[in-house]
Amino acid sequence: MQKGRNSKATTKAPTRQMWRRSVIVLALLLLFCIGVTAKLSKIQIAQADYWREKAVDQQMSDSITSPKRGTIYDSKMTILAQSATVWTVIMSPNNIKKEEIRIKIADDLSKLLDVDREKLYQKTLKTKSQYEVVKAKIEYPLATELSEWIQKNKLESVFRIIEDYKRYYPLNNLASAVLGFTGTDNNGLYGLEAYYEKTLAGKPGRIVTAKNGWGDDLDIKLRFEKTIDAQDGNGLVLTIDSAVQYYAEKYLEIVVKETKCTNRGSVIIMDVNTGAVIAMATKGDFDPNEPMTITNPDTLAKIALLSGDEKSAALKKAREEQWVNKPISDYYDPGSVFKTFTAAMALEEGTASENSKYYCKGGLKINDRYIKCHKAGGHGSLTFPLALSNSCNPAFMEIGQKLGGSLFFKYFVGFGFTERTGIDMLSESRVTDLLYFSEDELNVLNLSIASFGQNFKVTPIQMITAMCAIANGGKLMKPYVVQQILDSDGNIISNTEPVVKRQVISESTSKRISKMLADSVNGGGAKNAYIPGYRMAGKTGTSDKTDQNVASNTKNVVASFAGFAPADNPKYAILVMIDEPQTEIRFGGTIAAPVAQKIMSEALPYLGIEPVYTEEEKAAMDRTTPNVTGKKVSVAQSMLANANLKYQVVGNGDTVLRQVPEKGEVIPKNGTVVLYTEEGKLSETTVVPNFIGKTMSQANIAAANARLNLQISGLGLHSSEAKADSQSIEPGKKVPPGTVIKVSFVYEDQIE
Amino acid sequence: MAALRDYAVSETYQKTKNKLRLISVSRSFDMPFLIILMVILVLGLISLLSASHAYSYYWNRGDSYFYIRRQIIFALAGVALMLIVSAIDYHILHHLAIPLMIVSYIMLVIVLFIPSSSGVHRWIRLPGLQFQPSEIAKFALIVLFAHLISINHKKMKNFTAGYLPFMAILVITCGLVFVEPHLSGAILLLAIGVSMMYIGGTRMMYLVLTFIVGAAAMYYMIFVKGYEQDRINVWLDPIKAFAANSDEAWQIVQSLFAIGSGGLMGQGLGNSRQKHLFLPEPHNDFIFSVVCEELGFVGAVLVIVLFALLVWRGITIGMKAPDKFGSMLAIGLTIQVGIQAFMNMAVVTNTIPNTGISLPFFSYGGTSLVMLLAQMGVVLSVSRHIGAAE
Repeated sequence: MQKGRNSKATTKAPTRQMWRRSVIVLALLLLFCIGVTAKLSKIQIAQADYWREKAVDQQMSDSITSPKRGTIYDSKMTILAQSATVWTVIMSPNNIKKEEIRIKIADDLSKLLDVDREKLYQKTLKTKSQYEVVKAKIEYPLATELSEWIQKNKLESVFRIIEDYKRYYPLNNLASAVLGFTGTDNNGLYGLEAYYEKTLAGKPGRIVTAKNGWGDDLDIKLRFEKTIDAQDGNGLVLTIDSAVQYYAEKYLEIVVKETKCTNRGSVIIMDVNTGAVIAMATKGDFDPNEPMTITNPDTLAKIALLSGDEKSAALKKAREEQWVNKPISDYYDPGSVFKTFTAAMALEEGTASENSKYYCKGGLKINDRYIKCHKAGGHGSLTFPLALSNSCNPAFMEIGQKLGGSLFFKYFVGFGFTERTGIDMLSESRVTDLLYFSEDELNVLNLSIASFGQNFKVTPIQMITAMCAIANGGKLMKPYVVQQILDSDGNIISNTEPVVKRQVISESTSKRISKMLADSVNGGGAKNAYIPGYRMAGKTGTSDKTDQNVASNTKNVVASFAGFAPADNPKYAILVMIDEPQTEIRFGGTIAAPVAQKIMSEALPYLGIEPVYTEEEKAAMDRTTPNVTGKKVSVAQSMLANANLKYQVVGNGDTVLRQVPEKGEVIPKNGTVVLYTEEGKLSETTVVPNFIGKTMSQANIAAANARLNLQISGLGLHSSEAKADSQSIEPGKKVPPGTVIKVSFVYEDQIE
Repeated sequence: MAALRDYAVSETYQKTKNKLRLISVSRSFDMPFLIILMVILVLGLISLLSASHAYSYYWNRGDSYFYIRRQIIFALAGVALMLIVSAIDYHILHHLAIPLMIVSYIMLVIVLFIPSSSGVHRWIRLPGLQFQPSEIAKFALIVLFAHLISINHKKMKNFTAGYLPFMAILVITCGLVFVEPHLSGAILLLAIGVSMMYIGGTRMMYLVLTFIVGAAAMYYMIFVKGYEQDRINVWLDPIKAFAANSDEAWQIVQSLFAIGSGGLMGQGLGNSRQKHLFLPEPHNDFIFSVVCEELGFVGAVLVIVLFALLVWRGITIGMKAPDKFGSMLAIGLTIQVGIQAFMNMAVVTNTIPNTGISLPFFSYGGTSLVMLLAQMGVVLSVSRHIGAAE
């Protein structure tokens, strides 16, 4: 064929040159092919992920669905924090085609949703954007109204209303410092909400929807959607009992107000055997539903006077201060409460015993310093238990010195004062050796001062944990607030077991100290904490804030009480700490111990501790009036006499028409029941006298004169020197004779 | 016109005139070429079904099959026409070469005066029929060049006979298409014309000089005058231009998204996401992007190989053709398809700057498809005459 082409006969046929050049053109085309193929391999193989990712970005609209945050319960499954469904309004301005729609959206929605019109209008102009939050967390009725508006205006492609959650704290301020609060995106910012963030948060879900190039969801026939469900968060069951928490907060709030305390107050109640926190209160506090609101009116008034940067800085500071969970984040000088531990150390090491004797002459000279006892003139001669009960400083300096610095430090470490307790809460204070005397620093002077609890700092949680070790037979527990973690269906995922850190003192030392502390309450320095039937044990303290650089008589103090009950079989420990009370009388024994007494006298029966009364207590116990109305006067008289009650007959009838107090009311032993026998005498009244400031016997006389019954609250037996500080019915009011007036008494003698 | 007179008296013409038989079915045509072509056509229709499905759904009130229905009708008509044309003796085109070119020129001029909202004058629209004069001109150019080469083949080395008339025709044709404006059409014409001149025997030196002058002019236009600067910028960094909101970059970047998401094996036939209104004209210029997304690198290479095979077979037919006219016709028509296909692929992969060009047998366009198939009929007709001279 080649031959034929070149022959003259076939000159029409393509020439050799044409053939050659065709092959070259073909080769060039194939080269072009290879070039394109090479480029394709680069895009589709080497860079495939890069392009695919970008493509998916634009093809899929990805919306995040919020998980429901776990619920926080108290130990009785009362809800403390809960998330409820709300709705968030999302706008896709890229789907707004006309200016008049922008204006309509801005006009209508600014009114409906109460948002700034101009800001909303600016958002509608972001024509590239498909995700603008118009308003977060609207509630059901508004969401319904909005969705009707969207349908009416056919703006389904512009707006989406997505489910979200809002955190509610149904009990408001209760345990706020413990619970903390969450931010706008439902993340925990403070307290347990922050510490247990991972547990509570859950995992957000996603809805991936395919879109077309116009930004719309694909038409129903072409739809593509993938949903990854949100995984709801786990719940927490706390060891805190909201009833006990309520008692603690109620009385703490009163005392913080009454003493005009400037640095807040704390109460912790702990199960001595497990370290479970039953209540942890701070006042002033905040409402976690509105954490940004400053609750302290004085602070607010001060801030109101500021302006600009100063104001916002002050606001920020005030907020952060009110959020602090004082019981675990704040330090204080423990003061005389610490004598409990010095005493325990001395008993454990045998450097002192119940029979050891001390002499207090009102102070002790150490090197060049003369350190005074709180009791002017001194306690004179006293035994070891009395030294503790009367909180004698010179005696404890001597006890400390005899013990020696290294043993003191050994137990100081042992009781956990040099470490964090490890409680499962956010921002427990770091404990550094700047806060306490290290072993080398414990020279005679420092050791002596430390022995009665001054010049070093502890946190309230350290203090109560150590007090539990005194109570429970010497075991230092790891405190905790979360008892259980529940999954979103309520199944228990984990349960906290108590952790014993170490044995600090022997069980017998624990028993011996407990007895001394019980005596201290039972008529000793801590007598204001006495609760009939419950054998409270405890120690008060009033510590100078020695680090405040002011003259010693204007120094602020911390008034505190730490104790437990029942003394012979301890169950619950309590710490009351009032930081910087501003009243004249500001001793731990006068302001902190009564708070402990009030809280525990409600909490202990609630917690199922049965009262066990001594014979003495029984004899002094109040009576319940029997029903004598309608009975013959003679019958009534013998019934009342049998019940150890006195009676007074008014009128000349023979039948009791009315009795005051009525049946079932509680009146003191030997109280008087007034029996009315004549119709005409029924409206007789008497005027309530003023009991405040009277001793108990003075009050009794005044009550008898006014023909009233006096019910004493607050104190039991050892009340001869206590004075009345409140009464249930105001002075001057007219009441029927025989009415029961509750009067509470408190010791005001100057004890620590 | 001198060429015309020469032609009238030429020996070849006289001989063909004598031998011309309008219909010739005595010999069979080239089967491999037909098979490759049919495979391409079927693959093209399947691709169009998938690529146009969503686009049609959105633009034709929910009718997903609007484009494919029409395309299948035109494809059937086109194949029928192709078979008819393949039976016609291609030598008849000797007579049509000049009239066809004249008609093309008239239409190319007319189209410039047809009002157009976009300022682009490419289409002539008649009731039931719309076409681009540049498509007709492409065919006319190939026929005319084949004709001129075949009658002048002895003088192709001459400047006056083998270069000047070709160049003149080429410049006029390309010029008319360029001012439509239709840059890609002009480039395609130029590439076809120059390839045919080269194969036809034009002196290499002239072509090289022309290339140098052309390249210099292009360099001047682009880098000195800044002409088509946007297009170049998009080509160099499409993502950057995309971020800057360039419409041209939108097209090319969407195409790259599609091709890239295809990866090695593709998303599977029918599963393109980019065809959902992201790719501009997924049924037309960017149909290859959808093919790449759905069938992956493997599918894309298959399509490239099919076109390469078609070009190889077409050129083979040209080499074996009994005369230079048939040879140049087959080669011209084949490389037209090849150049257009590979240019389209190069555009959608951003290998060369973006210029609107469709993919033969794949892109939607009834008239264009019928014309392409008819032209393939001419190639088949040439293949029928292989061995006839012996």
